[in-house]
Amino acid sequence: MVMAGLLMGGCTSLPGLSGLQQKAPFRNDQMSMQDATGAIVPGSTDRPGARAVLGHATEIVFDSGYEVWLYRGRTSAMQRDGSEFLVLFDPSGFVKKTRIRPWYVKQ
Amino acid sequence: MSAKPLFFCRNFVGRLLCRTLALFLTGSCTLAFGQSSGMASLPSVTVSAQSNLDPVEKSYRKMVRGMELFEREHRLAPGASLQFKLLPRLPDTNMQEIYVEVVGKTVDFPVAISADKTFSMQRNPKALEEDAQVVPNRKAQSMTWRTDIRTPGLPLNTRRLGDLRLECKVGMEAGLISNSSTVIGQLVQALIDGPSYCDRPAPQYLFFADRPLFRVAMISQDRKEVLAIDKLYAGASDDPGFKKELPYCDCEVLLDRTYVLPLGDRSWPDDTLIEFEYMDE
Repeated sequence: MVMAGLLMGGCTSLPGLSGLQQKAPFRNDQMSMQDATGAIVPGSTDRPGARAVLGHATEIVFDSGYEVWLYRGRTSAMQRDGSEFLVLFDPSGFVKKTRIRPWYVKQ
Repeated sequence: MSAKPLFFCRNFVGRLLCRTLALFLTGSCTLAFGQSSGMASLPSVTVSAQSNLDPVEKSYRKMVRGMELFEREHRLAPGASLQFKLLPRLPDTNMQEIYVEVVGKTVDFPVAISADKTFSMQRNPKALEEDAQVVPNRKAQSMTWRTDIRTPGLPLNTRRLGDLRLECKVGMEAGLISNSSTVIGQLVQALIDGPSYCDRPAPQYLFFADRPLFRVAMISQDRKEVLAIDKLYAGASDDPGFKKELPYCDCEVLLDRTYVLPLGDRSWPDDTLIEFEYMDE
């Protein structure tokens, strides 16, 4: 499930750090998280396919066979900005769904 | 000893667990020696759970203190009742036909366990006086305990933050947490602070969802925020070696259901809904 559209409209999800640009976490540094969502096809993209498109991720492998792959957004200062792109693989090895977590302004 | 236990023994919680291991090994050796030496049989000895820092049973007194705290802090979850819950701790734990008893010097009585492994406790003055233990029919380290406080009538796949704040406080007061998490330092603080640990901005009190999680969001009126991945799965995203540390965590077989919350962040009111998206949906 892609949450980007809904979440970016939330009152706490507006970019509040002017002057800092986000650095994409993918192999292709021009690819945005929205682009990544379109490039990964649930039910069709497998692990090698995802790695070829997005690059290496932080991989969390569960005993159930599910895997969560994490790509973290960064600022140009190489600090995490809190945004995340996550891919869930089911035990068959294919993408089940993806989601984006935007960065939030601290309240 | 392997390198891992030696490393683990260097910190406060590790030393507690290492002393437990030492007590266990010493007791085992003593028993073996007594059996093989041909000595006259000795009267049986009941080992108090108080001498075992990580027993499967829990202190009845502490659980009653948890019940008393629930009553004092009930405003956090005014529509909810207090249950306790048993969860598997090991891959081969059989969660069927679990029996629990409260056992003291002269008093003992069964505790009714529901199909979902929840139960409530009743106050028994005799059991309190005798410092009884709450004993399930399972070996040590095979189960983990939590509180279960649920306001009825919530939307599907949600919990209420006030309920979970109270779960943490009662759980800490009742002494239910018996293992370290991957964040050793946080647990040290938990042992020192008790229920007030739950008022910290980001306590590492592990909650377990009903099913494996993919996303957790906090929703309060127009405000919605998805938790960062390091708030799920006991922080596995930040620890490449997390699988080696799982045996030290009561989340060992529940990792994919685990999450923590900013319990002490009062910008989120008690009526905040915690919304779950599961892996299998």
